[in-house]
Amino acid sequence: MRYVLIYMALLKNALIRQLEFRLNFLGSTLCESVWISTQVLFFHSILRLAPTLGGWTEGQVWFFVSSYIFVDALYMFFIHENMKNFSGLIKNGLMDFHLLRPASALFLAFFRIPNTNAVFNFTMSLGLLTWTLTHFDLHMGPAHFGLWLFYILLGFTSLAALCIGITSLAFWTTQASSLTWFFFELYRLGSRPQDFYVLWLKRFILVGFPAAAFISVPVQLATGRLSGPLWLLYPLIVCALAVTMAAVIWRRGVRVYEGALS
Amino acid sequence: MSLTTLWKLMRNSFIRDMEFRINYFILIFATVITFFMELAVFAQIYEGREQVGDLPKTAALGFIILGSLIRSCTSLWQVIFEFVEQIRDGSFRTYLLQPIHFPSYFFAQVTGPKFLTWTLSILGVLALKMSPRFDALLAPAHLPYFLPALALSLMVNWQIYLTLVYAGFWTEEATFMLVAFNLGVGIFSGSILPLSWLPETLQRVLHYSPLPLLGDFPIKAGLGLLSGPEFSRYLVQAVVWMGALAFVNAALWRAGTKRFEAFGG
Repeated sequence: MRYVLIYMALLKNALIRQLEFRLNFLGSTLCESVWISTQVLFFHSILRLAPTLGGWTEGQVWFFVSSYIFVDALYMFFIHENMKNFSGLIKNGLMDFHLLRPASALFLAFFRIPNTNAVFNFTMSLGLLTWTLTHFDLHMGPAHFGLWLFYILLGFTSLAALCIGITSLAFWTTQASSLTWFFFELYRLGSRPQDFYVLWLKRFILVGFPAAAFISVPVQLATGRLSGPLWLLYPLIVCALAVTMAAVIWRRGVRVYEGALS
Repeated sequence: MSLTTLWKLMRNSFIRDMEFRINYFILIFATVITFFMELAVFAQIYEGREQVGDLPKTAALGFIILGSLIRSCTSLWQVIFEFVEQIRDGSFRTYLLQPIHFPSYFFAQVTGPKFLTWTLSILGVLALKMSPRFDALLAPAHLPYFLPALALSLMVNWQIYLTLVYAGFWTEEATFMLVAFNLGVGIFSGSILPLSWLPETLQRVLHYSPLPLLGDFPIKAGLGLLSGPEFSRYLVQAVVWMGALAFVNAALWRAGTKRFEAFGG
């Protein structure tokens, strides 16, 4: 509860700060809308030519796309800005302040700056999701929708944990912009259902870098394309491993961090 | 500006960029990932089909490769943001004092860091050409069409970026235009999907813009998919757009530098 209150205060601060520069705010929203338009246009163009893709029906593909935009909106809202700024904290020694404050340093380092522009993406994803569910018969009841929400949030948790783990390597490398870019490229692999990929790549995004657990597997579990205890457990295992890895890297990183302020 | 000066500037910008060598590895990695992501989608689309839109199955692989390479060879991020930032913080004044016209400086700054990307792209294409699966990709007969198409495409691309940089004289938010352009150019230029796959209305609108010159023109020329009249039409369009953008940029430069103010030493 304490962290919810802290987060609300951070959110209020971020919103006030971003609204001070309204044109900047509108500019960021424009960029987000261009990005979403390209995603929608990409799949719209393909589905005009091929109504099914890798055994996925048109409705299932749109459900996947809206889920992808939904998870990406969560990522943009909670993590992205903080991830970009993290190496600055290490380089300039500002991490010292986070370590001294009476709240979790990890929380402050990775959740301090919410990106309020992402509310636009979030709204768009919900709009697309509503359109998909009303236009296509996906045979989804409230239970399936609940399952989707649970697994998609679990997917986002795995994504956030992996992101924190990889970005925390900046404790050793100092410069993290390349790491951030590298992570983002791996994350992009999750923007297509794993069934589309060749076998080795499919295995890689299921086991190597589990990008399939972010969106693809939750969508398939909810639409009934995947079933069985192993698939139900898979996102839980990925999440547990990702959180553990992030916690270990973070703890070791903080230990090697020496501070840079004089 | 003499060619020697231009060469020196390009070399300088290349050396400066090489300080961040890891970025090249990630760029290669990003290109490979993009390739596999597109391959995955194209494989699904072409399942049981020999032709989709105006792209035959035999040319699909070539399309994906050329599209990825052209995007990584033409997209500009860091250096462009630096120019806009320099207008914003006033350090752009150094370009006004130096005995080099800014567009030439701009040209050197944006081409220098791309040396390695271009070299790797050429080597990559040569390696792929060893396999018969890539026969459609830049066949020798298509090179006389591809090379001028690519050159014109690059020039139009640089002119557009220059226009966006000059917008920085009027608005502090020019970076968003650059980001929006970079995010949209892939799909709207026809380098992610063939233009003929996009909705008809959008295709009609896009043909009035210079965007197809940045992707559709060099890619189709490289794959031998442009008929004589189509190639000529694109050629005329490219020349007209280049002229128009050069005229606009000259006017923007004059007006922009007049209103530009910088203080301090």
